[in-house]
Amino acid sequence: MDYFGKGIIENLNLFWDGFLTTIWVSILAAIFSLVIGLVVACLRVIPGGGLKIMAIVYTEFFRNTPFLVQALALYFGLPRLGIQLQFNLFGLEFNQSFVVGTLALSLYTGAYVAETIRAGLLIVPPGQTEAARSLGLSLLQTLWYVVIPQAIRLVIPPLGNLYIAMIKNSAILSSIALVDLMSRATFVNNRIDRTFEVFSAVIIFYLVLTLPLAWGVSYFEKKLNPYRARSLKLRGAR
Amino acid sequence: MVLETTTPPLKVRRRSSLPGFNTLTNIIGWLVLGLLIWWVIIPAIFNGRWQIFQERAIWEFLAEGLWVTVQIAFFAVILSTILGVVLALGRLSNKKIWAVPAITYIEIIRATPSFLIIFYAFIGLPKIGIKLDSFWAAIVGLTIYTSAVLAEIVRAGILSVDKGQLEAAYSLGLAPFHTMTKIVLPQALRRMIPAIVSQLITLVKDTSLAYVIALQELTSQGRAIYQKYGNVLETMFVIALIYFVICYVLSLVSQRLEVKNH
Repeated sequence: MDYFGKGIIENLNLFWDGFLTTIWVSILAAIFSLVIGLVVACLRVIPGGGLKIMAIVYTEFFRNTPFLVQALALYFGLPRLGIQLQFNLFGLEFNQSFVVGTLALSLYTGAYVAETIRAGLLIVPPGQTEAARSLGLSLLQTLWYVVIPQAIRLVIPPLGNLYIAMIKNSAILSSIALVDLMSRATFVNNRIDRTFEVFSAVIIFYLVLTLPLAWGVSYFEKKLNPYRARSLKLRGAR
Repeated sequence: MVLETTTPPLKVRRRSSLPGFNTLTNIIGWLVLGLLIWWVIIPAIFNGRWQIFQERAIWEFLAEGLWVTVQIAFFAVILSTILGVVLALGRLSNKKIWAVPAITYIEIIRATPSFLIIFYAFIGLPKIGIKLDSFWAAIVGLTIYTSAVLAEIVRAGILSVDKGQLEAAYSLGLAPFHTMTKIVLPQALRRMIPAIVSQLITLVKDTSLAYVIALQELTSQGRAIYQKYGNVLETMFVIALIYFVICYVLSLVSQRLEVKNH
């Protein structure tokens, strides 16, 4: 019998493989991009020439160029420089696509995270820093104990949105031969030739990843700012 | 002698958000930047793989790709703004028959990678009888994705119009349709222009995804070049620089408009 979704259920293990890869890349890139973003954002608010220039060049360049171009350049470019990024760690094998994909995704998302965190850091009033300084805290202590904790709760909703975008961008990594959800879908589609079913299945898998995050974001937005979520009915004035 | 009656301009020194860390971070910063330039950037410039960019033919080849990219972005942004306004109105409608499909479309498409949508617009639409070449498939795919994002922006814009405007329009006896098209939307759209321009930046970057459906836009042209001459990093740097110029100018425009609006 041939019913809707038969080919998907028969190939579910292939989808599951890709799904796990997408999840792993996303989790690792989320962690790395948060670290990159924090460091770069701090470099941008610390007074001082060279590091600030590098931070600005990094954020502006990575934000204003397509992720696909960055991924391709890193994937095909790094081996030409003699950098092979594949290794075994704890019995797990990380191939070139996985490592470069995670790296590229972290760098791209990190630039956005840096911009977001910087916006959060700039909202914290200078008086806070001055107070911390007059209490004798060092640079890193001021940032870590005083400025960042105040900034981070402001940037949680925008960061959530960035991570949703990051999960979606991870699909692009299928073009550098990462065996993720997207490339598994293409593979299954070539095998069973049921475009619409495959497409629906992949969308459902991505929804499973992004919808909970989206709900979390709107929950935090309402919690942090209850007045923003105002509802207006178009014909309500009647 | 001219009497100076005007008060001298007030000197405002912008306070740094982190005062008191000038010397040490400065020295470290310039040192690191200097080392980076010496060890990485100068060797990268003089490695001799930039030769092909002295030829006119290469630039003409890239310009062809750039023209395709610009065309796709242009058509997609126009179409998706129109579709986005329709979707936003549908979403805000009181009638379930409009609201439910609009909400479903917006929420599902926004959660789906644009890469996926472009790819399946290319291979999926011919199966339901819509024959598209890769150029129009890219436009359709980008429009499907961007319209969902723009719908949310338009919705926010419509909601940001003061409620008094609506009430005034209604009390003047305007029908809901005219209230929308004559009173609310013009104000909302004016406020949304910066957001639409920033979405255009994403759109320009997303045009590179049409690479996967073999459309000869900027990124595909770049691939053709590096596959022939074997200089991935250099070619991709040039490609990235072209995208950068476009997107950076757009982001400046967006910022300028945002300042103007406030």
